[in-house]
Amino acid sequence: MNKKLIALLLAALFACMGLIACSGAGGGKQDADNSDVKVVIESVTQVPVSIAPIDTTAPVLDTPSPTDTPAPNVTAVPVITPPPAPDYTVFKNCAFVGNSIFEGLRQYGFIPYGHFFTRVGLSILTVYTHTTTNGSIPVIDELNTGHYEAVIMMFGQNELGWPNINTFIDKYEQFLRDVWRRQPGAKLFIMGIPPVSAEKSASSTTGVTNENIFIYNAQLEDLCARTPNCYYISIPEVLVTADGALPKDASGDGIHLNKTYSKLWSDHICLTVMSVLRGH
Amino acid sequence: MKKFFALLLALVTVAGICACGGDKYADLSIKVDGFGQNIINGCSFDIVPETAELNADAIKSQLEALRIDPEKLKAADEKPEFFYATTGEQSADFVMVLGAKDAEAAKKLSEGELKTWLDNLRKDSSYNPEEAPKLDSCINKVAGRYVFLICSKDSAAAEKALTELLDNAVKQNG
Repeated sequence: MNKKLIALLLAALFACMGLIACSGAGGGKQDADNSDVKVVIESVTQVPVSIAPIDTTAPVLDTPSPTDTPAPNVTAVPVITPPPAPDYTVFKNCAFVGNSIFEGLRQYGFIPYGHFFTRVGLSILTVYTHTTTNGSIPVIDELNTGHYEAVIMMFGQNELGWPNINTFIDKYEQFLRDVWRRQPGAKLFIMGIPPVSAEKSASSTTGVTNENIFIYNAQLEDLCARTPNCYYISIPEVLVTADGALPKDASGDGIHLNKTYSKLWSDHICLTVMSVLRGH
Repeated sequence: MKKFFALLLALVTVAGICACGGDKYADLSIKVDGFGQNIINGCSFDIVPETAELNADAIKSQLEALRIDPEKLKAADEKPEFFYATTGEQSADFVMVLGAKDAEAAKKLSEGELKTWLDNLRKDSSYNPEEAPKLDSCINKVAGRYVFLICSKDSAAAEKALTELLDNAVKQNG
């Protein structure tokens, strides 16, 4: 027993001595290039690390509950809203002032509301002197009474032969002021002049031509643009052919509209006035 | 005595004849829309007048332009008895039929507001001189409680057509 113990001790001693010898000699064999290389073994961090057991049942961080995933956004299919239908009650508190074109429109009864102050041959001058067909006071003075939401005006056909269009526009501008004075707050609408038939335009010796009408309408539109509370009612496309004339089937005399086209024009006037007075 | 009674009988007979002759249309009863259309069909025009469907509001608007009080007209189907066919100023052709409250009112309308209106139209005819003859010969006729205005290119033919239509209507009424 003692012999074995002594043998073990001697073996351990010799092993230690061998290890010490190897580490001290630098590994026994010397390399001329690596003679200064020292292997430094950094000490292991001695701070004890306590690792707490991880509770896998509870969340580690206090994160908010996930919100419900929103339903996917369905891209709305564009809905084409049809244009509103003409509602002629919009004219219930309107005044119509003008010449035979408006008088003709009135006669067909498509505009059953509003008050018509019209007369064949009425011009921007005679509106101050002539009465309506069955009236007793000048047309302009018909606006002295009542309180209209809108005044819709039609002039120009009887002035197409004037030597100077500026005179017509100046007089119209004065007329607008006089209307406004009598009906403050009313919206003012200026009707464009409808074209005449190609035959009428070609044969006219009094300036009733579509070229003239085009120029007059441009000036009327400009007058509206620079007048507060004034709106221009354009001529609908259905009343104008490709070469700027009234369609052949629109009129028996080439100037005034028949029943069918009067209806189309009335609808257009109604929709335009609706868009202003009712915001449609 | 016999001569006296004979004379009295003769006078009564003459008075009766006169009364009948002047009141032929006293009991006339027509539908103005249908009758107006028959007038159009029976007359000749340069441009045939057309009428829109005139509801009560449209009729009141038309009467306002004519300066006619709607109360002077009798109401039928909840609107004044009024028929108007026009060419919208394309020409002077038109037809108008009104049903007044009674014969007296019809006579006043014919000689008052409607005559004024026709006179004013004639004043404006200078804007379309070719149409002036039509306005000059425009028919303005009273029959019973109705007033008929017809402006066409053949006034004589229109008068004849109107008389025939009226006589037929009386026969149908009778």
